[in-house]
Amino acid sequence: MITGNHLILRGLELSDTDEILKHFNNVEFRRFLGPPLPVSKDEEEQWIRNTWENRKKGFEYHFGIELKENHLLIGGCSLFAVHQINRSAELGIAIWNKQYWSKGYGQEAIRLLLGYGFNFLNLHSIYLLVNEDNPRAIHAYEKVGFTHSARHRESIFQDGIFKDTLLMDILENEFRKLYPNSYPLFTE
Amino acid sequence: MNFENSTQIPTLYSRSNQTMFKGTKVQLRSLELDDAAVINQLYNHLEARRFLDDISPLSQEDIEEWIRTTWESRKAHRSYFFIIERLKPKQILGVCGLFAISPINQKAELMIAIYNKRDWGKGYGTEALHLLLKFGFQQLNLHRILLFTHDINTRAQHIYEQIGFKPSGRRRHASFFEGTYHDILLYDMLVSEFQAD
Repeated sequence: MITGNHLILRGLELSDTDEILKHFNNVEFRRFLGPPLPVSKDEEEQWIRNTWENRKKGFEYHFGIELKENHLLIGGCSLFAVHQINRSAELGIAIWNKQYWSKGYGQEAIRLLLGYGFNFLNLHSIYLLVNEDNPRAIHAYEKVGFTHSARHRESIFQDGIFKDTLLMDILENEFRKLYPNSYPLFTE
Repeated sequence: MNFENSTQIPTLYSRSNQTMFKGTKVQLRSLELDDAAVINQLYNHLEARRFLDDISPLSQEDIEEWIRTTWESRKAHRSYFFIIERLKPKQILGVCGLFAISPINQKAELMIAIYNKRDWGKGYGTEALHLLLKFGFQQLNLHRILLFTHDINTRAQHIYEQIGFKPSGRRRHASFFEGTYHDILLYDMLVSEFQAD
């Protein structure tokens, strides 16, 4: 669907369930994704079906992140909480296979997703929330071009204490300045 | 009926005789279906809606439906909405609430609206905010209460800062407002920062 140098972003299929569940019911992977409630296969399938419904309604756009070379699904990313009047959306991303962390795949997926949001959905701003204790993610967002804009103090209860959540955002004009060649495809 | 000044609209009077969270000027009480007509009259006004998220007109039935959902989500501990009612003489001033409650993170988002400009600047909002914060921190055991406000709504910002909210940042260009993009400011308060009296 959306193709970058190493990655493809594509819609999720029910046949992805097994690959997702291999990693999703893992406390380490789930550390920064809210309270780690276990997920059953049925629930995961229902969740995938919901991504189709929300896409049709224009509420949320979820993608699987696939490696171009072997079509392995290594993660997921999304634009959600789309606001039609304010032209804003929230971004989320997870590379669930630890083997593929710190290889720049997250950054590439985010750039592709931003390109989709700004070039196809006509968004004006895209923001995200990140745990203050997740420097790996914060670094990636900074490198892609996000700005630190707010701090939700003591907003996440994790490992027994309250931690801050950082809000970072990027505007369409900032994105276009950083990535003038984002349409139709990235040429990095 | 005797109203404080002649410009008051008689239908702003509510038949509800609840008293729940009471201050000196206002009280917070549950919404009643009876209130829909009053809200309909006050809410379908562009000035009242200026800084609220949605500017599309609402029918009385929309409002009744919304009132029913406030009862449901209260039972489910998802949100708590109240009518702000002046005590003497009794009159509906607006609505306030705690919503987007996260039970694990013990946080909620706050909203408040005094609909009629005539009722602004009289301390009603400040007292309602205080009652609502007290309810959130002392009854619901919240750890943090946050709110968002428009960058140009300086009147609101002043009140939030006076009552002890901390400015914690902004979402840049997050709101398309009267023809251009504006920033939305984030304010929050922790339970340790709340002054009960």
